[in-house]
Amino acid sequence: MAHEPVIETHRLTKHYGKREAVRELSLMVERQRITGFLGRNGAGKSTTLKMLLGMIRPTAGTGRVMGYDIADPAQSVAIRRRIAYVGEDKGLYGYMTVGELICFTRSFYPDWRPDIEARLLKEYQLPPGRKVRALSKGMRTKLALLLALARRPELIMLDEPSEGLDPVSIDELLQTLREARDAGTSVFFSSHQLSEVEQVAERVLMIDRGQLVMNVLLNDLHKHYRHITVEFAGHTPVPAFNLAGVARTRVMGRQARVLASSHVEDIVAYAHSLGAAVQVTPVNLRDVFLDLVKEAP
Amino acid sequence: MLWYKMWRESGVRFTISAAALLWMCAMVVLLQRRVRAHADEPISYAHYIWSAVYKANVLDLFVLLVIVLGLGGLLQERAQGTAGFTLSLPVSRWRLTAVRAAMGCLQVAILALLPALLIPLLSPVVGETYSFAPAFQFSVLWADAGMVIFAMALFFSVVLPGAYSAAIASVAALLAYSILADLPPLARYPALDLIETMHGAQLLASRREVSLAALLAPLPWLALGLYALVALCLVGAAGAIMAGKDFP
Repeated sequence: MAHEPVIETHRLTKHYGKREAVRELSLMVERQRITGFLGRNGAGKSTTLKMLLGMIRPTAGTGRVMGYDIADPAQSVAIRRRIAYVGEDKGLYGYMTVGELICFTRSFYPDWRPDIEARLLKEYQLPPGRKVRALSKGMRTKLALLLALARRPELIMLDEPSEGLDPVSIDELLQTLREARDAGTSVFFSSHQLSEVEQVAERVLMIDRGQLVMNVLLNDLHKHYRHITVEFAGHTPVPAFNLAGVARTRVMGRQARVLASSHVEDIVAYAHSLGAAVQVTPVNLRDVFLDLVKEAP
Repeated sequence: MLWYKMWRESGVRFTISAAALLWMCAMVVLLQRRVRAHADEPISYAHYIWSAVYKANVLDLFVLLVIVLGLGGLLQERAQGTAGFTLSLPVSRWRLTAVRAAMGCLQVAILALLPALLIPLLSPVVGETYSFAPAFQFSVLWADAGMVIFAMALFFSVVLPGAYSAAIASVAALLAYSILADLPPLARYPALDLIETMHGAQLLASRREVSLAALLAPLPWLALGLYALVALCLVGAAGAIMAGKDFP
């Protein structure tokens, strides 16, 4: 089934002076899917999310969320009316109580769902009378999720949602994201926690130094991606693996380590034709991530 | 509900400001006998109130309190980590600035009105009278000129990061402006002197008739209109800068 896009960017770029935080990023996030946005710290994930929300103006390129232009201030307001965002720092007004903050946030959204609010308030065990500043980080994350989900947004964007949470809270968070997706909400979340992404995401976008380095369905990754280790004997020069399906090649001495996204048989046949010993192993997200974003030795 | 947020963010500052202003005014009234007794020349109660409240100590306090009210905003929120939440709300940055400015101007107007309410009510306690009419006239001057000072502090709070830089810049700008306004080319236009306008020296000589016309006629409307325009321009500039700012 083809999923229509809720987010699309085309050559989206952000410069801070001479530093390129995001470089010609073209990506697509599909409706009613959980999409993980992976990258190292400082890779450009938060900058991308903030550009999509209108907090940061792109230097170049275009972007659309739910069909609205992210660079147009009026359309940006329309985007924020239809989507929800949970920021990395979960910064909420500490001087308000939980109840006051819910009441305040509710006033901006005519489609607020009191039934969801009541359910999540009970489920998350949030005390309405307690000041937000007195909540633990885990409770603040839950409150931020309640504020985001109580109006059943079409899209929810989360920036490092599990940052600072204990394992139980992380598990509950991932469950909440699954439930949101099942209820029809598209989920786009950034993270550098590979295991979490692997648990919950259907598609993974990987960004490194401001550029998209991978866009794959997690099922496809498990099904098609392989590591091919090619060992050359004697003094035969190690060739360049400029073949279809080769995502990345690392050469270490007489050994070439190839990350293949497809055409594994062709690559193996090529290696055999050179008289090399070949070993093919399945990969997981962590292997691919390290292969794609780790500095070359 | 943006009003509610702006009120919650500035409410404590406003309440403390109001209490400080009322306390200062009350002290001026209650200590009038002692202070006037030590004056070089005998002065009337009305003149004493003018020199202690509208020309000197209380006015200085009012100016500082207004600057404090102008602090805050999204740059401060960024430092506190709440800017992301505010900016994710479906409201434009123009609206955020406008509501903040409107709340601030309302608070400035209320602060300006406090001496006009307290002094006439408290004066009989010390056996004096002070009518509401002149007190109200001074309030109009303070409210209008106070809005310029508030708008200036708001402008600096949008331009300068840091909790206190906007306050320091506002005080420095006011001092620089006062020096400039005293220089010969500008001294010819007393309407341009903000602090002199707030002193309202010309109101001391105005007749005390009880009518709206007599109440409003002595006020320097041209200067007040000019100040309102300047305040509006400063808020507009703050809004424009805020609208184009990045919040990484």
